[in-house]
Amino acid sequence: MAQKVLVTGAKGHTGSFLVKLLVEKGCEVVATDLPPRERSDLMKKETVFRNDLHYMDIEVMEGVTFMPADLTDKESLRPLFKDQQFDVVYHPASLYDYFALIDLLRKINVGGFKNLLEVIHEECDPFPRFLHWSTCGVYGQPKYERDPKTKMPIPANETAPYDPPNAYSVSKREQEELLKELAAQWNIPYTIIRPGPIYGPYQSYGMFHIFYLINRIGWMAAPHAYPRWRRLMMPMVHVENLVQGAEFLAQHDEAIGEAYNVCDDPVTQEEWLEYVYTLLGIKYTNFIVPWIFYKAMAGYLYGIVRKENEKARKWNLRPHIDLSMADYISHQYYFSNQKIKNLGFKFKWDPISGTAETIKWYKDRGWLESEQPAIIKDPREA
Amino acid sequence: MGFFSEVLILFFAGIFNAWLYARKLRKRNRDWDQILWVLWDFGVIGCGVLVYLNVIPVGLLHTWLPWVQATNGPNWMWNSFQLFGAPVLIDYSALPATAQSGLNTIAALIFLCYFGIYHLGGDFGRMLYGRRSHEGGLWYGLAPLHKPKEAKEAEKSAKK
Repeated sequence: MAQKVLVTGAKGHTGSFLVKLLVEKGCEVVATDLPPRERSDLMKKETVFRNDLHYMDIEVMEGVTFMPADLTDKESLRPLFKDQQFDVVYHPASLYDYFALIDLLRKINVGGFKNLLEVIHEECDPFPRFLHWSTCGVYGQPKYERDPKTKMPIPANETAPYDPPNAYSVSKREQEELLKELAAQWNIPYTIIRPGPIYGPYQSYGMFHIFYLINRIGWMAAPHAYPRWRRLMMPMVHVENLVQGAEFLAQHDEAIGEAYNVCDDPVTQEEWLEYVYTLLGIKYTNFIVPWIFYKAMAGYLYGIVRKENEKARKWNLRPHIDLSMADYISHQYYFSNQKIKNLGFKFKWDPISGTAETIKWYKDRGWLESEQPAIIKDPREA
Repeated sequence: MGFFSEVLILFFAGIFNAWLYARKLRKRNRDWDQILWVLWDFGVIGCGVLVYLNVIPVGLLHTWLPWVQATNGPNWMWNSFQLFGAPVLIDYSALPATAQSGLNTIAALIFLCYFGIYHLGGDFGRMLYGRRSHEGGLWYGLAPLHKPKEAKEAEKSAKK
């Protein structure tokens, strides 16, 4: 029998891909998100560079019932569970915005999450299988063990302690703690997914900012830091890997009560960036730099971004680069995906093929400007 | 003009033209890149050669810029840093003929280097302002945020 599933945040990037996958898998999908106006007011992050970019339209997909609701309004959530019992609840809904203030993040990500759990607890018996979206950001920059031979860091696994470096990750940590606390009381069959930064077609925030800025600037540097073992990794996950991973975990009872990192296989920043420059046809300059100078350079750039962020906040503007994104140029974020692989999950995309597919998608649709006109037009933009 | 000032002029002309081409001219006609290159390089080299050969007189410079001791073309070309108040270092007229012919050869080589200097400035300019019409160069990434009108007005009214 077809599974009946609920997807929160269904109009977001991950949510829309998840809905598409579940429909393809034959699930009966109830999708929820904020009503359109409230959503566009909240998601200013999606219009930093352009305001004509849209995610997939899930409302036109067959087999999807869309019911608007607001996590911060508990009563608006109740109709979702009236007269229907879900097999699985996927909860990617969240305010993922590095520029948002902690109060707003707490209100939506923690308060809203609590509302959702309470409503499910009150309306559903038994509590459905619950897939919760967190982030690898909850670890911050863990202390890495090193390979004694190569000195290369060993990626952090799911046992690394919490040390969130920014307001968004703090709110995610609080969500996880709340979930664990309530799960113990209400016997919630939950699984926590901790994705790295998500990229893929339709993405218009986060990794898209990196692609957009590189394409727009048109010339970049590719520093190769020495010693080699100091080089920074690029933690990220293709959106299709992520949603397939979530669907996979939902089918495995061994995953109940566990947390899983969902990141593509590792790639170094310099390797990945050079590949991106090549795909975008960007001129770049390779140079070797001792780690200490690299760190100083990254610190200087971080300082510039911080100043711009402060100005933007003062003047009620949106900066091109949110401060937490700039963390990646000076911090080692390196996470293991071995635990989900041990369960038998196979990643569809590796970072190189995933990036190539994503950039081609952006270029074909003109989301990344190039000298050639866009090949595929989005009918909603006409 | 002068070897020192021409090198500076060509370098900054390269940067300026890269900006002009990227932002204004490229959309109209891509040949502008070559047109600007020919105009600037050959224009500046032509002027320099004519000054060096005393075809264009430099005597008037002393009238306009009293601290410049430009007695003839080669003297001025070798000592153009006088513009910034530096003293005459190479007195071309006082040198023996063999030394003058050596300097002339070096002058020819410097004129040839002008192509490279312009190109260097152009490359730097393209890095700063972008090569293609949709690119904004490093300036796009590093330009500071501008204070919006509303913030300026709010500050003004608060001062009042």
